Amino acid sequence: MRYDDPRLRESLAAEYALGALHGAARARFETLLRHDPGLRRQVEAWQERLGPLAAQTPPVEPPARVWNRVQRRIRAEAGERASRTWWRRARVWQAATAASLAVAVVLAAAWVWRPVPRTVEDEAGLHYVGVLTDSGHRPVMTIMGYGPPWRLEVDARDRPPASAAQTGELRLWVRGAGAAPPRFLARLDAAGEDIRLSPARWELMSDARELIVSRDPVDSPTTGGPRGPVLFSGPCARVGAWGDAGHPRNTG
Amino acid sequence: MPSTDQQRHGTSLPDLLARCALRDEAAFAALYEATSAKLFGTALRILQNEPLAEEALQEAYVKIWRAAGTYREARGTPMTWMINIVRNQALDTVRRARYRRAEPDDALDDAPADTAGPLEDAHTRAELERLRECLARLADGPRACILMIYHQGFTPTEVARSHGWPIGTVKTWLRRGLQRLRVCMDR
Repeated sequence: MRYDDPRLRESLAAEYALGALHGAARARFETLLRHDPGLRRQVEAWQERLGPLAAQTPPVEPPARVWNRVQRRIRAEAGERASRTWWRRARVWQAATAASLAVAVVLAAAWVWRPVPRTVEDEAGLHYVGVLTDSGHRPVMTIMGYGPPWRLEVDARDRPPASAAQTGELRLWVRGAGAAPPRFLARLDAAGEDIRLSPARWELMSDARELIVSRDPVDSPTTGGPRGPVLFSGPCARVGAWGDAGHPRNTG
Repeated sequence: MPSTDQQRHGTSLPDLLARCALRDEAAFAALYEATSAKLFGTALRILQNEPLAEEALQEAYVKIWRAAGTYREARGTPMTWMINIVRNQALDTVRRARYRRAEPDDALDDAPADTAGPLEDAHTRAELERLRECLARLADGPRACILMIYHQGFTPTEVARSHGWPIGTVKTWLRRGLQRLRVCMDR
């Protein structure tokens, strides 16, 4: 068939919108549609023309179970896909009632410096778990370090207040075992992306004891610790066996 | 259950879809409440089978949720967009499963009841009037073909078989009928 014949195109667009195409012809037309915006517009015009027909279909209230299933589906998907928006993901918090990971996180929150329970180890590539609390000691954020490639996944209970971003930037710091000031790790992206760490930055995690989120003036130096107020802070625990977290020099 | 006064509350369907694109579950619930009866009616009419229609409706809303961000107001009304998602789903079901309904339901098609709900605005009502006028100008055969296919998801072959018409005739009626419909509606 020649799909560049205008009359054929119009005719197929109409028949497709009506629902008259089926089987292989329908599949072929749908493939064509994906790459042909002009044809798509023709179909849309036909859908609008025929749309009023649907208005004469009597509405029928669907049973409540349909909504329940739809809701379950979209929530399950949200969990699977682990949306990259950390302030909206809140995955850990939603799971907190049941998931064993949540239990491990609570243990981490209770200053567990030993390797954290096996349930967490089981998550492939997970090396660090940090639980940050606000000034009222309310847990508000978890940070998990994965790799390689080295990255931090942030889960926040709430989106940080808009004022935080307006008056500065959110910075993540790590405090090690010694007395040195916290070392700069990364900016918390306002768009909510997970954080990729260079091997050099990841190395800073090797003796992580505490993670800190501060609100610093934009463009202020990142050396010597936070310049602005500390918003959240909390313990950071290494998970799993020492030595497999990409710190070859550190034997624990 | 459905609140039909979306406009009055400032939560129009395009607004709700936009919020769904931002993964606002409350907006999605409101969208479902406002539109599910119409969409279920559409699926039920094509499938003539409640469990299958429920399944099609469920799939359609999951797709609506996923694709909410792709909806563009300039390209059509939200209702048309959503109805086409549920129609496609129902057509897939009806044809893939080789599931066949009861005899064609001519009564429904010949007596188009005006059941435009409160969601349909004046514009939609005018469009419906115009479409009806233009359909009325078609000969009986082409009109019956168009309505059976649209409302009940029949294939042209099924239409031909059910009425004892030659398939070539049905295809010609269909092509010419749609052409005339367009000329009439675009006037």
